[in-house]
Amino acid sequence: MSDYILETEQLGLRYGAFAALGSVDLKIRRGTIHTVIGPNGAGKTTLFHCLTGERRPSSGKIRFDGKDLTRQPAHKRVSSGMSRSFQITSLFQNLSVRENLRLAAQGRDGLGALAFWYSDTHRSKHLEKADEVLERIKLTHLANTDAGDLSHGQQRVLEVGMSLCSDPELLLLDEPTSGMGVDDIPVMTKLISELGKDHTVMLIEHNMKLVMSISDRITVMHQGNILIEGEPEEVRGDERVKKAYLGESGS
Amino acid sequence: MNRSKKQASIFSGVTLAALAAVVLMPLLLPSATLATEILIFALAALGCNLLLGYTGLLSFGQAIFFGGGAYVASLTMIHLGFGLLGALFAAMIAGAALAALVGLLAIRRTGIYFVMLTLAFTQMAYFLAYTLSDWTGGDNGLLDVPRPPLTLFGFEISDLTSSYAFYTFVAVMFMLIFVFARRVIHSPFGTTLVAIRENEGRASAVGFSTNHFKLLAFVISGGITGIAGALYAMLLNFAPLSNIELLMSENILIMTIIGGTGSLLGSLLGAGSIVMLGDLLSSVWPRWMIILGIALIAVVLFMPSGLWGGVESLIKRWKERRSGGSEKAAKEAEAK
Repeated sequence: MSDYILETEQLGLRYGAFAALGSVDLKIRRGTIHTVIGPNGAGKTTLFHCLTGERRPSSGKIRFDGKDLTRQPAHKRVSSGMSRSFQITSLFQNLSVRENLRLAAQGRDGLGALAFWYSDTHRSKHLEKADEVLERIKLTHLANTDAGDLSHGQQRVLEVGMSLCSDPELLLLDEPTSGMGVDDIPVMTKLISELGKDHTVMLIEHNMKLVMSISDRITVMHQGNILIEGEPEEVRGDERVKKAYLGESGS
Repeated sequence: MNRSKKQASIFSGVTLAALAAVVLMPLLLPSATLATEILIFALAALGCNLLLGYTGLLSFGQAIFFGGGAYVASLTMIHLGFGLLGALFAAMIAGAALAALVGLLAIRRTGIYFVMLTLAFTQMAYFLAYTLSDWTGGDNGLLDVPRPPLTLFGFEISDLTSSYAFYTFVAVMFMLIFVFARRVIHSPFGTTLVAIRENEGRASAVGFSTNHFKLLAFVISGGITGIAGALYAMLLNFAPLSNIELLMSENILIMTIIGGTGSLLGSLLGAGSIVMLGDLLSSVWPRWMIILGIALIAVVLFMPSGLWGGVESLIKRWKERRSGGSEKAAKEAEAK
């Protein structure tokens, strides 16, 4: 078993003459929290979309757990052990919090969920999983509330919780604190650092305080390529990073 | 424990309400034929509801499955000597197969393009049926469709010639399919359909291959609608071309929407009100469809969850008032 759960090899995505991703070699070590940062337009989200299967890269390879899944459709990556959250909250708004999580747990069955001849509670493992995640994200007291009635902060937490339900080896989190109030951010920080104990986590994030406090490794992207990669301390002091963030006027 | 609770629930509550309606209808309505027609269209609406109410797919293709079921049942009885159950089975398979065909192509697109594809298929099916007049009777319809006796294992149970006997048979079919539909809705598959309706992107992100689910929803819907079409041909002893017309799709959709999408009793209520309205008004006023239009506008504007939604909120309010009243009484007693 390789040390790295996810590796990309010269991953690129071009839109005509414009290269949203140049040539990215990213390696994510098992059991770490690995954050990708970079100024707007650096290609973070494009990279993320290639990893989740939403976009098909125009060149390069993605290897997950040693298997090439560059061309695998998004929904199949879940049963391989990869799971994602969304930057813009994407829940089943009119269903209860517990049902949201139960459905997410059922997702790992893939086509097994086509079974229409027995009750959804017949196989209780999905419900158990939902309750386990509820406890983990501390929303048990809101289990029967509709997801749409939660506060924004709670919805963000549920968003991350949904991605936990398939027992993923790798969690891909797209700006988990997006739109969250200052008061809610510590909750999310704590949740992610706890998830890092059992899962490999790769996240895109703008909140520097969160990034610096929980990341084991940080990759900085700039103009579709990796600028540098290192531990939080190294990245914090690097001149090139400052330049990239401040633009040419900062030099 | 959990399991037995849930298993019991598909036979209780809503199912009992449907059973009560099915038993009372022939007693309250002027004729058993009218009651039979209501149940047949309730079946078609049920099939439509699986797609529209539970999966969020607005399909104008229902007439293909309804008309297809009617033709296949009639033709297998006339030319191949199929019995009652055999013909119904053939109609179910035909409806499901047609739905698989339409679904396979239509679900490649979403939203308005999906709707347009189902519309196009219905138009095609209509002209195909019109052209194949040697088989379908074309504009005149397929005449002399038999209504074979009900036999099980060689024993004749009923000849089904009386309208009440046929109603009873249709009612049993309806209840069986109703319970089946409830099983489907409360299964892993059914709950995934609701997830697709709520947020297809998320459903796909958590691991569901949504197109497979939509296709199976189509197949089940088509099978149920095919049976409805076959029963309709047996009721009329005739399979008119209008079975496979776009207007039939519209009627089925209107019944589903007026009754309330996302609830099975709504389909019964919707079919009941439209069929009865048509029966009452068509003899008095040939332009009665205008009233149907007004009713549809009113329901969509003021009762977005349909007639059944209206009934449900009335029940809820009544229950709240009762429990509110008793709580008040309890508090007063406590104060004393």
